[in-house]
Order: sequence, then structure tokens, then C-alpha cells
Amino acid sequence: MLIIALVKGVPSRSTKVVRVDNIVQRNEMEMIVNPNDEKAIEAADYLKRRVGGKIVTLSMGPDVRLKPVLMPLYNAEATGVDEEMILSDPRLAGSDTVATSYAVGLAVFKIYEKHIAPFDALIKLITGGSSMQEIEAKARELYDQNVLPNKVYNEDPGDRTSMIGHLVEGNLSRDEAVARLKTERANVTRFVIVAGIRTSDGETGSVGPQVAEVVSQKMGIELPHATYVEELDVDPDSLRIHAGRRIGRSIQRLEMESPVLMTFAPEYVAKTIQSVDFDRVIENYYKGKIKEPIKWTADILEADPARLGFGGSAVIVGPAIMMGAPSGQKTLGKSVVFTRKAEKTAWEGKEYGPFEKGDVADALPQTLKDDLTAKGALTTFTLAMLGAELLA
Amino acid sequence: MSATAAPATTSAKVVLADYKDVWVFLQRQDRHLSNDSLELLASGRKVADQVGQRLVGLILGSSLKGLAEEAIDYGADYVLVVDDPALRNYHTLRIIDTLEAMIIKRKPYAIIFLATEFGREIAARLAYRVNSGLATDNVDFEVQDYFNPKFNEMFPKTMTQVRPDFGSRVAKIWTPRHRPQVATLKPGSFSPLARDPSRRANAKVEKVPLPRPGKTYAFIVKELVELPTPNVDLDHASVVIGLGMGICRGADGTPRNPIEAYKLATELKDLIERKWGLKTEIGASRELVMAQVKALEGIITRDHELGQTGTLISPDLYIALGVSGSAPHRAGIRAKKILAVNPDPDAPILLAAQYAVVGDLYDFVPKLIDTLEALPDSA
Repeated sequence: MLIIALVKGVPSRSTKVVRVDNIVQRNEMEMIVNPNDEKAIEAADYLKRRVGGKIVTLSMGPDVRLKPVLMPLYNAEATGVDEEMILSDPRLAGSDTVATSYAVGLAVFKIYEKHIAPFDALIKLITGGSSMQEIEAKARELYDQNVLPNKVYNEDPGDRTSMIGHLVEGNLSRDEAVARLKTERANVTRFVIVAGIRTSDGETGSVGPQVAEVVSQKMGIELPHATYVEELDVDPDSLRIHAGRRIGRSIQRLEMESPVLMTFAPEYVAKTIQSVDFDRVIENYYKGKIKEPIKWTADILEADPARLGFGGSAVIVGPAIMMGAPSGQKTLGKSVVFTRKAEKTAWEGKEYGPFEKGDVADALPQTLKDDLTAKGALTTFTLAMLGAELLA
Repeated sequence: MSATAAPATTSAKVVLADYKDVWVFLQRQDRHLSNDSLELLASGRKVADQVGQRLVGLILGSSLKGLAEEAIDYGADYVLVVDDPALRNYHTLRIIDTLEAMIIKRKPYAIIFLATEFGREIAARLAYRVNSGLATDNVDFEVQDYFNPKFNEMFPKTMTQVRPDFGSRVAKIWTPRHRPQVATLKPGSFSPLARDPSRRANAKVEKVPLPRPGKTYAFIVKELVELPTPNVDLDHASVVIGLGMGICRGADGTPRNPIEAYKLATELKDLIERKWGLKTEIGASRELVMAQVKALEGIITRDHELGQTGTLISPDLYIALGVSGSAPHRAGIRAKKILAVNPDPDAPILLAAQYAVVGDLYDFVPKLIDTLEALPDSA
């Protein structure tokens, strides 16, 4: 099973948010893996242990900043991720959720294509009458690129149990080999995309469902999605997905046909695997890991450039405005409040008041506060006052 | 379909003036519109009045009797009802298909959803499908003529969407070139309008048939299980005491057994109930619930979770102990008054509090209890 995990590098909580022209400058901030995405990796690992296959992560952002953040994922959970793709291109800067989803969705499609193309190449050689040596050489090359599962080809010279092995040995006719490759190709088409419920920086939770839509449009299918997934299982034979998620005060249980996209809630915990068909899992594994993240630029996406980055964004974000404290906020031991009713006062050309006993005076000019304090009209806000007001 | 069939940004063909009416996607709770939906109607009313168009309530589901009239009473001018068993049990894809068909046919100016689990996913996918933008978790809307200096262009009567940004700030968001403008509204940001049944005289309800009824999906709802009512009644409490991760440490960083904080909270709760007769409950932040702290096992459960993903509360008083006040936490609290205790002067909860105490809760709460005990009985 091809498992694609969307992983985002987000500013760590302790870092300062840097902006130029209202666009967050991610290359100037300390990064961590979005905490919610760890659950997606846990789910990906579960699926891989249950049915075999490989996990490919996909991230978008400056590759030099993302690489160190992504490297530990090769050893995450039980099996770790197998490959990491980073979509890194200044043309993608300033993307809103729609433009982000567009780029990420197209990259998902590229990952899928990369794992489908080897089957098409082999089928073409076999039906085109190429020699067994040529077919085997091609299979080995693709296997070494980590894009064919053990089932189709593997490099153990004594092991002729793979499809191409059987074909070369003469145990399988060309027609039978093509039929089996087609079945296997169809299995790769039933891939799964996993992601966290939302990112800790944007907090929109929108990219998951939108990527499902982008991939749907690209593939000409309707790829189902489920957000906030807390329960997950997969039928290793049919590759159908069973998922449970919380909606309000209900649990909704779903059965979905892959390809499918799911986002995982922090409550998700991978089930314990009771029994597993190890032979099948190993047959579905690929050669191994490529422990160096691969950088992709926007060129690979074959995208409509008008839909990428800031220019491709439908929404425009204005400058951030600090939210003020609620009016009348009182800080214990710090705020000053009126000890009695006070009439409207003119002070340095402005009018203030009237005030009730207990009203906060923090926002008044310092000179006025000094004057009022001297008259005994102001005092520091104490615990006794807080106690008296709290439940009044 | 193909990705290039309908580019999102080559909007030259979108004639903005063709798009009319403000739509709100209403959700139900039992046999009525949810309280959040009444707030949504109030927000939509504001936008509709400012842009000078109708407010249209959308009610999609099954067995929807009486809901359209409620929507009108609370502000809608027009209601589109799709009542079909196929729309039961939150069938995401079918609802998106239904809305898409309605949008293509009727061209609304804006469509606003609630920022609930369900509203979010529908809004996101639908916005992409209809080639528009999306602004989530808004707390306010305002229709203005928007001038963009970068494009040197004026966009008349554009919906300004106001959303929290990186914690303690808000940002204004515009979708100037695309229609409909798709947004989600954070529950608790508006107050429902007063119920006015006389509005029914000038309002209309239209029943819309389910588009493509025979379509099958790779998404099947096997069951929808109602969760049992929790043993803590946060919904109806006048006072809620919220505990956060901060209860695991003192202000100086030394570890504390969080059960001590729970005991203090219980003492405070008992005191308020005894002396003031106000129903008081103890809740917890999502972080504390998720941390599954051993000492609080069976005491703090998921039923205690406050905030956007837990119980949304609207008590008279919320007492936040060791709660930092992340945006999703604050979104679920609509207290008349907040008392926040936190050693970090920059904690967002302190910004939102009427009463801010910068300090150690283990120090403060016993003093507060003594102070409250010493007060004369209110009765």
C-alpha cells in the first residue's frame, strides 16, 4: 500500500513570528514538525505494518529548514517513513489554503504517478516483445529506485518468487505476467493520504479536505475524505478503510474505498495488531529507505502558474491587529480602581468619567491617576475587592 | 473533470455582480436549530443588511419539520430546504454535492458555515470545488468597499472577514475576486437575534429536491452512535472552574501533584454552591485531558474537556487555573466574566480575562477561598 503522509514544518512555540508584507517568513523562524502530524505518521505506520507498502512524506516549505526537522521521521514509530519529498520553491510563498492545497494535491498526484509509471514501463516491455534480459534489467533498475514492491521484483538472486522472477524463469507466460502487473498496479492506485487535523500555525484544518478535492479532480474520481479520525482499520484483502470519528456528541463510523484521505485527531491511537500475514506484508514492502529528503520545485507539478503562491491565492490577509484586553480588565495587585463614585472630570483638555466605585482607572493619564490617588479616590485592586465582586 | 477545467484564479469570467444573497449553512441539535446556528443567522443578518441582499438559510438533512420557520424567526428572509433521507448522518460528500449544485444554479454572494468539525470540512472542500477562497474561524464580518494598494484596485461591497491570527491578534481577510465568499464562523462570536415570529409574513421557504439522487459514493456511513450524556454537566453550570496543564507545576517550575489543584478546585466549587447556591462544575483544557495524567485518571476525563473540541460553555463566571488559553480553548468559552490565574504574564487567557491574576494558583486559590469564606452570606 502506498501511504502518503502530509507533514508540515511549523514555527516552534518559542520562536518569534517574522513577517514581511504580511507574509510569514518561514525561513527565518525555528521549525518543528506540526504536532498534529505525528498522529498521521502513527496511522501510516499502522497501515504499513498491517498490509505492507511504503510511507512517503510530503512537505512544502524551504528545504534547508525542513530537512533537519524531517530527518527523525525515518526512525519514527515502528517502521519509520521510507521517503521524504519537499516541495520547495519561492514561487509557492504566500499561498493561501486553496493555493497550498493545489500545489500539495498536484504533488500527491506526482508521487502516485511515480509509483504507477514503473508498472506501465514493464507492461510495455513485456507486451512489446522485449527480451527477458531487458525486462529483468528494467525491473532491477526500478526496484533500486524504490518504486516497485518486492512482490513484483526483488534482488535476491536465489529468489525467483517475484512476478518478474517467475516470468524470467518461464513459470509465467507474458500474458499472465501482464495480468498480474495490472492487478498490482490497481492496488497502488488504492493509496491512502494521511495528515494531522490542523496545523499549529494556520489552524484552519482546511488543507486536508481540499487536497482530497484536488486529487479527485486530477484523477477524475471522487476521493472520499474523513477528518478528525480517531479509529482506523484496513481490510488487507480489499484495502477498504474503516474509520471512526467524532462529530459533535456522536461517533460516526465509515467505510471508505481507497484512494482516500484522512486527517487524524490527537485522540487517535493505533490498534494493537493481533495477527498479520507476514509473507504478504514483506511482499508488499519496497527495497528500503531513501534517507535523504528529495527536493522538488514547482516545475515538477505541471501546474497552472497562475494558481500557485501569492498570485494564486483567492484570499488576501490584511495586517494583524493586537486584540486588546476586555474593557475594565483588573489585574490583581496592579490595577488601580476607584474607591468611590466620581463625577465627570476635565483634565488637560479632555473629559473623563463619570466613574462608579470599583471602576478601573488603568487607562487614565498618569498625572490624573496621581491626582486622584492623592485625593484618596484610587487604590490598588486587592484580593478582598476581587472576592467581593467575583460572585456579586 | 480535470484540474485545469476551471482555474481558481482566472476569475475574469466571474461577474461579481451576478452573485447575490448571503447564505448560512444551519445545523440542528435534536429537533431544533442549534444555538450556534442561531448565532450564525445573526452574523449572516449583519452581512445581508450591509450588502443590501437577502439572508438565505440552508437546511439540509432528513425530517426537518419546523426548522425553516425557526430560521425565519431568527433572521432569515428565505430558506432553502433539502429534506431527504440520503442526507442523514453527516454524509459529507453528498452534502457537498448538494451545495455545489445549489451554488452553481443560484450564485450566492457569500456562504457562511459554523466552524464545527462538520462545517469546517464542508466549507473547505466546497470552496475548492466552486473555485473560491476560504476564510476560517471568523469572529466578525463587515461589508466594505475594499481598496487593495498592491493591485491599486477598489473592490466594492466586499465582505471583510475577521479571524484570530497566531494567538492574541486578529487579521482581516478578503476574498475580493471570487464568489461566493466562503467563510466559517467561530461559535460564540455573535448573539442570536430575538425570536420574531411576525417575520414569517414576509419570508419564504423553498423545497429543493436532492440533486443526483442515484449517485453512489466510495464513502458509506455505517453508523452514527450518540455518545452517553456525560456525568459532568458543563452546559448548565453558572460557574465553571477550568484546569489546565499549569496545574502540574508551581510558578517556580517545581512539579506539583495535580490532584492538589483538583482538590482546591473542588473546595472552591463546594464553597460557591453552598454559599451562593450557584451550580458549579469543574472542566479541563484539551491539553490536560489529552495528557492523561496518572494522578487524574478517572477524575478528569474527556467529558470534562472545554473549548472548541470539547463542551462549549457560557457560564456567568469562568475560573481558569493553569490554563494558557489557546485560541481553540478560548473559542469554546463565552463566559460573562473570566478570572484567570497564570504565572506567565503573556498567557493569552490573561488578555481575555476581566480579572487577571499573575501568579501561582497553589498560592492564590487557598487565599481566594479564605476571602470568599469571610464574606457575609449573600442570602
